[in-house]
Amino acid sequence: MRWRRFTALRNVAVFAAAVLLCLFAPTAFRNSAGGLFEEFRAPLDAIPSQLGDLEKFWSLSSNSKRDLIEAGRDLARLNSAYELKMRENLILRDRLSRLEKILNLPSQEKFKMEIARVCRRDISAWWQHITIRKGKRHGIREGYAVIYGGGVVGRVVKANSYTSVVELASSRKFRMAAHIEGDDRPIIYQGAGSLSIQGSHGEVFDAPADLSASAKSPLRLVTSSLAGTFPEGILIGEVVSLVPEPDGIFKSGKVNLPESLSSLREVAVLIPVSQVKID
Amino acid sequence: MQGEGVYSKKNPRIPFFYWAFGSAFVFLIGALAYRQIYLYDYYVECGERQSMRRVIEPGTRGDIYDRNGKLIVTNSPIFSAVVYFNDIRKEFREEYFRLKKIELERLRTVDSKERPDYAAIAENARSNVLGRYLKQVNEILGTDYKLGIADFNKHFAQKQLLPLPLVKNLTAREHAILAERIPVDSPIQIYTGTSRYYPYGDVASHALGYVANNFDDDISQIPGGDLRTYAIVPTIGRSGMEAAFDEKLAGKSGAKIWIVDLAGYKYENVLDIPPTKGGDVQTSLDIEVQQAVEEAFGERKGAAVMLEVKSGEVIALVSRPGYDPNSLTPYITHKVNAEITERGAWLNRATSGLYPPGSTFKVVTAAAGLMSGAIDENSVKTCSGGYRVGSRIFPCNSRYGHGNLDLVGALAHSCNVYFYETGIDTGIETIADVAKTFGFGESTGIELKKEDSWRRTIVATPDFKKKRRQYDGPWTNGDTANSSIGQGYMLFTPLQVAAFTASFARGETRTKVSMLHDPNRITDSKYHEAEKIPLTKSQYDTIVAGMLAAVERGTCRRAAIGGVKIAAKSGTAQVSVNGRKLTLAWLIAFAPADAPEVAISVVVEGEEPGDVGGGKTAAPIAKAAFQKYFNPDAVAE
Amino acid sequence: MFFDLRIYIVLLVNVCLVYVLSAVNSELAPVLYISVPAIFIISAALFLEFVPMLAVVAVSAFLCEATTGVRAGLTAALWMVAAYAVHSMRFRFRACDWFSITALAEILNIILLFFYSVFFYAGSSGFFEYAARVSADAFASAVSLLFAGWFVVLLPVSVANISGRQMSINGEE
Repeated sequence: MRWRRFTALRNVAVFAAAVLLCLFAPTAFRNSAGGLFEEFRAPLDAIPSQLGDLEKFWSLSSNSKRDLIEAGRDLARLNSAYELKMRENLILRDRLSRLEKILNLPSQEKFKMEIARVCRRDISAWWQHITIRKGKRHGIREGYAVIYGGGVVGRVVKANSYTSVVELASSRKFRMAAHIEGDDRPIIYQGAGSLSIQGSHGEVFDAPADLSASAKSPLRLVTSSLAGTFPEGILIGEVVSLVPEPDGIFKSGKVNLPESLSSLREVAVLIPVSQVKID
Repeated sequence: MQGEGVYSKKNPRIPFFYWAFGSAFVFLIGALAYRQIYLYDYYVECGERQSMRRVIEPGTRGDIYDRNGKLIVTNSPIFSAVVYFNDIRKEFREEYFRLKKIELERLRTVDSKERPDYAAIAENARSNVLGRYLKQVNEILGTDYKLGIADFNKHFAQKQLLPLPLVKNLTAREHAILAERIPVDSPIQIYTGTSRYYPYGDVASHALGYVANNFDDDISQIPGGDLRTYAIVPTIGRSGMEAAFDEKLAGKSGAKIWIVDLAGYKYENVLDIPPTKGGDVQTSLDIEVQQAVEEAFGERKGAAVMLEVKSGEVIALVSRPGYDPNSLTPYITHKVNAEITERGAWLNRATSGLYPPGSTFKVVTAAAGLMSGAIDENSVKTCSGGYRVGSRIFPCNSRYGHGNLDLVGALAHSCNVYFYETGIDTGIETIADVAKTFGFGESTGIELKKEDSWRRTIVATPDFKKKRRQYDGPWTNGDTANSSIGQGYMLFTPLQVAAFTASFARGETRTKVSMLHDPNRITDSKYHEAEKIPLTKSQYDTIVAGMLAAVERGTCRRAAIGGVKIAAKSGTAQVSVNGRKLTLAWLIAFAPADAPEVAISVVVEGEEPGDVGGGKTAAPIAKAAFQKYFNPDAVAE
Repeated sequence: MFFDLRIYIVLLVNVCLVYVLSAVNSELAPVLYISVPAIFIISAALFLEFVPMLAVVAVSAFLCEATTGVRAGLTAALWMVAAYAVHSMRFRFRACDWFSITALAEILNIILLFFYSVFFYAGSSGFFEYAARVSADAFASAVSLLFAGWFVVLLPVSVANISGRQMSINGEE
């Protein structure tokens, strides 16, 4: 009997201690424990994604020779077109660099792109994150901008050694400086949270009162380089409604984000050139 | 008795009821636990929180547009990084307890019997917490902003519910950086205030006016009048259109009523009335014409008023020197005030400046002479350079005389002798009556009531001299002669002179002047409270011909522009300022002469004797105004 | 206590479930989000001793919240409380039949999702949108538990059987 009571008391004490430790341990301790689990968790996300790529490769290799030859031919045509474009870009970049030197202008090239595969998507009512397969070892740090071919993805919120967690532009905790394309007056964009089945949304604040937008004639919202995190002019979404705020000098409204934001496979992390040199 | 058949332990329906009741019980326990445990603090605090406070936020002022829809007065946003005391209250408490512990430890160490200064500890705690947030902002922005301890103590004591600015007037770049790098749920927030903004700087400064803090705002209509109130100070128009249309421009204040706890921190919002923006006003000013006239003035002092003849709307209201209203918001510093005072720029010379009209008054004298029969359209007089009145020779502006002149020639060359004689023949009472008929000495009806000095204008009569200038002796023919050419005791504002010019152009006696643009306004003689000028067509045409001749070959040649017939009359008046004889250069004009659209009066103050003249100085300014009005796309010469 | 193979079987199954769930959610995103914390808790609570159960549940919770923006430790605390409750009444589920295990999983999941919706609310442009999304996710999670809950909870038992170890609901009541 005594032994049973002792066991019961012991269990309650351990339980209470464990719960209190989880809730009230010092922030540093909790964060470091969390960090350890993040690193432990990272292979769980990264390796299956890599295995998935391998599986795709094998499935492709089971295609008939004829299919592969045709696909290869199409790809070769695309590749040669892209190679020409790349060569053009290199020539233009060199020319730009020479002109900057001659005119003593600051360099426009502010970011280096690090391409990463998306290995996990966590999009719920409480968080909108994706996990990518590159981390600190690839020069990625917290706060770096993430983009894709269709526009803004979000910002890196956690950078582990080999993986990083990106907060999507649709998240309520995501906020950035932006402006309407063709108008350099700054606007604040914030994710609307609670991503819905109809598509992802955001909100704009502090839009100048003379702007107007509707679903039929939306305004393109692009990034502003004022804060230095994002380069200028990358698409965020389309402003589809603007209503006056009580102060009468600004409007706020709704932004439709691109549908492809929630089904990304590959993204690019923008690493500031200054950081690349330091690293 | 237990056994199989009656009470079977293996009845499958029983677990279902167990689960159903169990679920309901769990939900009930959960809800109770939520209220009793999770919301425990809330309800305990509810009991303690009894007081209410009211926070008033002013509405934004409306915008002012010119007659063509250009925005000339608006509000520009001011972004500040702020914290609300309520959001960092917990940190204040934690820091207070930490500092209190240190202080008690220190006192124990030195074995002191004195009590800790709890007020000072609380002050230091607040300072430390705010300092940490300011440091965070400085680290993000790479700046070194500082916050005065006295400022935030005062804010805490007097404006606890209002946000405390850590950094004011953020640049666009700083705003963008903070918006991106500060977490969304951080106590540091970006607060958007507004400041009155005049995009055109000092253009039309007197016409538009400026705003200042209004510490006497009427908030009696806002609920919660008996509550302790924290108010963000609104602005009120102090001069110009800002003052004249303040009721329309001023927004409606909003209010929030908060329940606060014993320490004064806000707890629950029970009323939220959002502020509303004031109404917009469209003024009759044409900002481009205004700008052209002000540029033509350059550094000279003076005034110009251009009116639309038919409606009486003010197209330009210029007073130089001016000031930049942007330098007067949000408040006027001593330095700015001193600088504007030194330049004499506070005075709105267009509506408050009192000047003798000079030879521009000859148009009135001519009209009075024709009406009374003293002269007719073909009357010829001889000018030999002077006119004897009593023992004194009154000079003409041509030393050797103009010879024989008719009315047209007299107006064209501004012959004083012709009008001395006409004036004496007509009589001062008739001239004064005609002047009053044309609205001199009375209000033009302009909305800028505060700055309109019509009460101080003088239409000189013997009665006036007897009452107000008795030390100068009785009225003489010399006074009549002077008055006939717009000298002597006559004093008018440039606005009144412009109104007269517009009335004469229209063939009527009065013009009601307005600063508001209303294209649907019915502007007939009933609106202007005017009558037809009691001159025959021939008489009227003669005067106009004289004014046309002044531009074609007379004293107003420099006012001419290609393609538009301008009728004008120049004037050069003498005034005595601090013992020095200075000149005033005048010009009145209307165009096109055959179907007048606009009328203008220009007066330029000379700074040295003889440095300005009507035809030399005022005419080019009028020319610039006409050029801009009739050829708006042409590049200025 | 910690050399019991059952602990590691349950932990291994939970780790695999973390991967499976994240893969499923990645594919379902953004339409639905399957949130089934119950399956990480019930196996450990039913089949393990008290202290190992707490450890396994805490580790599983930390693994699951590693990539979320949740305050570190909050999920673990919630799960441990739930696990304590289930462990206290584990003998009622000795039969391990489909109905009782599934009912337990559904009820526990609903309760945990309720606490998630209260504690994890990070703001939304509209309350209705938030409620609709939470409801849709909760419904989808409930449906998935209906079909797979019993199998997943008893998976450690099957794995233990393969390795030659018996796993059942035992211990002092």
